[in-house]
Amino acid sequence: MVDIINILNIGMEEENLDLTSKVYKLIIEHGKEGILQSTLWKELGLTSRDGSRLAIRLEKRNIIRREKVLDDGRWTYLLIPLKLPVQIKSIELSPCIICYDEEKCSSDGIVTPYKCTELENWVIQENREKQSSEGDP
Amino acid sequence: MTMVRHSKVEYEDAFVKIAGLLGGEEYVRVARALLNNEHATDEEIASATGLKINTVRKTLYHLFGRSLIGGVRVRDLKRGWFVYRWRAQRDQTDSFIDTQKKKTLRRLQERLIYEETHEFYHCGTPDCKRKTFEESIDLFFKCDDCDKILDRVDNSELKKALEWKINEIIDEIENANEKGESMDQL
Repeated sequence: MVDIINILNIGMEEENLDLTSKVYKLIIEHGKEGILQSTLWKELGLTSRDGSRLAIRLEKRNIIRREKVLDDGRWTYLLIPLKLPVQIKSIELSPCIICYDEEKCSSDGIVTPYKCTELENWVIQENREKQSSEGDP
Repeated sequence: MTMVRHSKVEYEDAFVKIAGLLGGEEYVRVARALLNNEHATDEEIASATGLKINTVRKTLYHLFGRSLIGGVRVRDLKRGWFVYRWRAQRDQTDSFIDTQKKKTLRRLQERLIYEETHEFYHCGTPDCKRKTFEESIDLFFKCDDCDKILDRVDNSELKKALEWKINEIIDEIENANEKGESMDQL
């Protein structure tokens, strides 16, 4: 069931959401060796309780797993990534994803990639941006 | 219609990333609320996100139309009417992204072949469309919209951009496959 108290607390929720991404990033950066939960909340300047909640949230989503380990005489969890973040950079601004005629688009259809100015503008614009960022004349 | 796309979602869940691609910031907020509150109603999501109920409903129907979320109709015990409880179908997200990449890739490849195998002519008027050589012959090299003379168009920048984007998508697909294999070995 929905945790009503949790969903009503909008400010807190937004704060935790940004932290979820930060936690995931930190776990990914530590690779398959993982990172200790106790290290993680210290690195992010969180409380132990918040660190634990965020790790549990990621575990529930099946993108990390938690292994109970003894570290320096204290029980903590080792957080290991199960899934790397999906890369979408190449199609992030693709016009096809939000195109209302996408279903009708084919090489022999009324809507066709041959005449699509959106597709044309997208690749040219991104290519120009890439060239200017690389300092290519 | 222009939509604002979300760009700060690199380390987000794939489901949130897709929502960002489809509709920008508002979609991202709804997607995050769905992940954190499974089986939430539209009203609960509106409370969690601070978005208007109409915006939440529109977003939910759009995501439902793309099979990215599922809804279960249940009776609201207090009020007696039926409400939908929504759930993110996270098992669909990877295949959705994969399909989008492959579809976009195919379209770009088709366009590149078309650009490489045709000559194009244009009158110089921004609103007028480009014509192929065959179309231009039929029009006696005179634009049928503005009557100006049609001149040859250099499409080398477009061809270069298409080649670059095609390679970028292929690299991303290959990297994803390699990473997937390495994660399986964990």
